Amino acid sequence: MKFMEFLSHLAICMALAFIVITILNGFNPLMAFLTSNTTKVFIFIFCTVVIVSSVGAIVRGRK
Amino acid sequence: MEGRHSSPKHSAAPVRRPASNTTGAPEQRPVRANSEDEYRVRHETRVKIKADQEAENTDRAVQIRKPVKNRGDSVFRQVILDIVMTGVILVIFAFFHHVLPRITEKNTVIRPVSTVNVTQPATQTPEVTSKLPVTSDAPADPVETEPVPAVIDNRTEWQKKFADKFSDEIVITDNSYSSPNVSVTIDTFSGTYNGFYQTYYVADIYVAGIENFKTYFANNQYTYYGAQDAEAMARNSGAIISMNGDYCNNQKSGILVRNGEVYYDDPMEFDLCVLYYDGTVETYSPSEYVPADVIAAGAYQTWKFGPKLLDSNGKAMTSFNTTYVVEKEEAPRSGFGYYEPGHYCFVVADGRQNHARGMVLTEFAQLFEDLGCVRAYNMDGGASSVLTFNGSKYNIPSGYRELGEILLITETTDIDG
Repeated sequence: MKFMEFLSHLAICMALAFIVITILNGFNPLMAFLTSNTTKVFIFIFCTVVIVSSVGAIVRGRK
Repeated sequence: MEGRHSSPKHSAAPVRRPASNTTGAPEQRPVRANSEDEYRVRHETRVKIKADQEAENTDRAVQIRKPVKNRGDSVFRQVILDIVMTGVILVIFAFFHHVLPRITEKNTVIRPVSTVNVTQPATQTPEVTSKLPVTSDAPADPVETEPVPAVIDNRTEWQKKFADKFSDEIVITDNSYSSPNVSVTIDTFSGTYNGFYQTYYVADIYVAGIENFKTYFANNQYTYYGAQDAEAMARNSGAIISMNGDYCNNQKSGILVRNGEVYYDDPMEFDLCVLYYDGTVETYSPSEYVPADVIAAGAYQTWKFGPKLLDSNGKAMTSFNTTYVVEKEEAPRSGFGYYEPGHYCFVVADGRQNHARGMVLTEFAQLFEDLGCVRAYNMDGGASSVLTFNGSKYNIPSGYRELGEILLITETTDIDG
């Protein structure tokens, strides 16, 4: 349960980080904040975290 | 009240308490007092009990509220922890996105993959290099360049067309330069433009041949994240006048042609500006060009910052292919304008300072339309906006920043660095 709670908070933090990155991208699109390979890796991690925490929440709800 | 208790009629009667009152609890119903002292005692007891009850209620309320306060502290602590963790994630992102590439790839030199072949000779500048008696060595200081005598018979079409702009020998003033090959005049505007206080510089440029229009990378080589002082770059390249370029050093894609050499030829999402060998300039939206076709058509220089500022009729655009922030921000701006083959302009607007507010993109586009340009393209701005003349900064940049490359006008036709 502690791990699932941590994943939920990680999802929140990564979402906040992406909001900041999106704002930065607005100032200079040439910096490739949203299109670089680093960003793609972060997006992959974010998606994985969200899926795992969401599935965990659904399973907990059915018990 | 006092008169009633002091009545002699009741003064001798003893106080009668009900038999059921054995708990010592305060008397609820009114009891006749036989003396002032007894009444005072009862009154004080009643007040004390009431105070005790109120205190008890207060304690109970505090006990009820206490858990709520603890819960609030926990949430607040968790929010703070989440914010800190968000900061850590951003630091990790910045390290991998920004710092690590600069460390590992800074000195990686990127070589051109091919050279643009100009199969058809440029109509405006036929064999400029073979006819113009230009110096072959890049001078450290353009002021010291020897006067180049004009050879009437060998004049290029542009020299004939703009004959009144060129001079037989080099003439330099504080804001102008003229020679048989180059004419540059810088006008400074400082005052109210569109209702706001602005300072901008317009360099009106005529060249005898396209080879007088060059670009120069930091340290004379295209390196990932390469950067150099703007004045040093201007001096090393022999630039008469130079302006910052498009910040191409942080990308490994898109179409990139510099001085006729092709570095990348990939499609990209940004507007493109192309200076062709025949001296014409075209600006394209991402859907309007194919990189291979642009190169095959004789691209001499390409820029990929943008956006383009004027439409195909030379009118200022009102919506741009860029982000909201770039469009609406009041910032220092740099732009490249095109009138006709051989006739161009560099425009730099100061900003974020007391003497200049800076321009939003619509104002900058309107400025190029007012100047009479038919094509215009936005370059990197902010602290990157630097205009140099004779090796020294001419504008007042909003900060210091090393540049990755510059656009320049030079007497020489070869840049060795």
